[in-house]
Parts: sequence; structure tokens; C-alpha cells
Amino acid sequence: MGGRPWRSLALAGMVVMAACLFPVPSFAGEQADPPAVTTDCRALAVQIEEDNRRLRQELRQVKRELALLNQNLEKPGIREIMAGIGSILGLFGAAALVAGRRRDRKED
Amino acid sequence: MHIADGVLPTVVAAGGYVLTLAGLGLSLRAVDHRDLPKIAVVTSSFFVASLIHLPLGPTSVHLLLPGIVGALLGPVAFLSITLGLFLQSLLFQFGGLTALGANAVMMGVPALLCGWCFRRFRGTTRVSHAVVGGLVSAVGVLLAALLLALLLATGGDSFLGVAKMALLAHVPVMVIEALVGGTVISFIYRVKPELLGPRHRGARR
Repeated sequence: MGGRPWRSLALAGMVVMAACLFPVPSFAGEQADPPAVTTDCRALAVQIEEDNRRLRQELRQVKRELALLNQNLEKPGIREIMAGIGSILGLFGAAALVAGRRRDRKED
Repeated sequence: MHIADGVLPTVVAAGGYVLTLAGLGLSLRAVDHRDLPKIAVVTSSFFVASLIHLPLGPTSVHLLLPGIVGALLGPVAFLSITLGLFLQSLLFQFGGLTALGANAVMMGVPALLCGWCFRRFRGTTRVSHAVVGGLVSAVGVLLAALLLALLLATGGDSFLGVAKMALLAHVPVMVIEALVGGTVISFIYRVKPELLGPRHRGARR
């Protein structure tokens, strides 16, 4: 029966590990105290109303920023302007090239 | 002042395209290959000018430049304006592609008329160039606003109402374009007068 102490030791170790992995709810409850919640309904309603007001204000600000962003996105930027000017110069450059080649051929 | 997609009846939009093709044909026949750089620069200026907005109460209007383009390019102005409007509708979403024909007619016809008037009445002095250039620049905007009213009237709007509104909104544009046109043309007349019209036959190489 020499194995029995080892077996009980192993069992104790497993219990400790299990306790570490799965903390007993009563311990967890003691560690994190729940925030002080007012149970008075009227105070709760006031608090919710306050929160709503704050959220509405933030939402309005976000909406305003979104509208501004949309307005800025609709405006053509430097990229579009450069693309347009580049296309125009490129087209007329190609036309000048063709005209020049045709003139050279005539001269030959 | 761009007409958007779906505003005009299909027949008018198609008619605009037919007139634009005819105008393009005329313009292309008038192109002299030595003028290609000038046409490119004027087209680029026309393309970008629509981004210069003038705040006007709750809305804003922008420069149009049909008169100056007509004065500088003459019959080639139609090509320049159509190309500029095409790229504006592609890149800036100004006006729709289906209404491109109508838009080109609205801006191109005043440009052709202004170009003809400028070449006919510009005189020989710098002052006369500046005055006639300013006048045709203003008249170009006026004609474009009237054509806009005419085109929108085909879609069911009342001609007089739209014309009154478009003209009132574009009075500041007319004043500014007259100043810009007079300044630009008198400056070009001073530094490089051959840019302002067809060269004499004898000067061609």
C-alpha cells in the first residue's frame, strides 16, 4: 500500500488546480463588489434620463460630423482635378502627335 | 448650371446629343493642329472654372466661362466645352451623362455666338478688345441661362419662372465674368495678340 500517500497527494494537487481554474462563485462574489445601485425607482429614472440626455448630445455631435464628412466627400478633390487636366492635356497631346506624324508623312 | 440626369424628357436629351454631334463635327473641321496646345489650355481652364464657387445666400453659383472660351477659340469652342463638360460629369458628378448633349448645347451655342461676335466687333485697340471681351463674357452667361430655362421648360417647368431665377442667380457671375473676360483678353492682346483669332493667310508657314 505504498502508493496511497502519492495518490492522496495527487488528488490534493488536482483539487488545488481545479480551484485555481474554476474559482468558486462565493470567492468571486467577495472579490468584486457590485457597484452601488440605487434601488429607488425615482432616482433610477432620473439617472436614466440624464444618461439619455448625454447620449442624445453625443449622437447629435456625431451626426453633425458625419454630415460635414459627407459634404467634404462630395466635393471634388485635387485628385479629380489633376485627373481631368491630365486627360485633357493627354488627349490633345495625342492629337498633336497624330497631326505631326501626318504632316511629316506628307512632307516625305 | 448643369442639368442633371432624368430632368429632361428623353426626346430633348436625344436631340441635345444630335445637336452636340453636329457641333462637334463643325468644331473638328475647324481645328488647326498648330492651335492644339491653346485649345488644351483653354479646355483645362474651362474644366476647372466650374469649381470656383461664389456664395450666394443659401446656395452658390460657379463660373461658366462660355464667352471667354468662345472668344479665345472661335468655332473650336464647341469641342472644348463638350470635352470639359464630359470630364466634369465623369469626375465631379456635375450634370448627368444622359444630359451631356443638352448641357453641351446650353454652353456651346452661346460660346459659338460669343466667339463670332467677338471676332466681328473686337476692333483694333486694346480698350475695344477689353470692352468687347467683357461684354461677350457677360452675354455668354446670359445666353446660357436663357437656354437653361428653355431646356427646362421642355420638362414641364414654366419658362419665365426658371429664366427669372437663373438670370437673377447669375447676375453676380455675369459681372465677375465680364471683369475676368475683359482683363484676360486685354492682357492677351497686349502680350500675344495672335492667340485671339485666326492668323492671316500670309503669316502661315
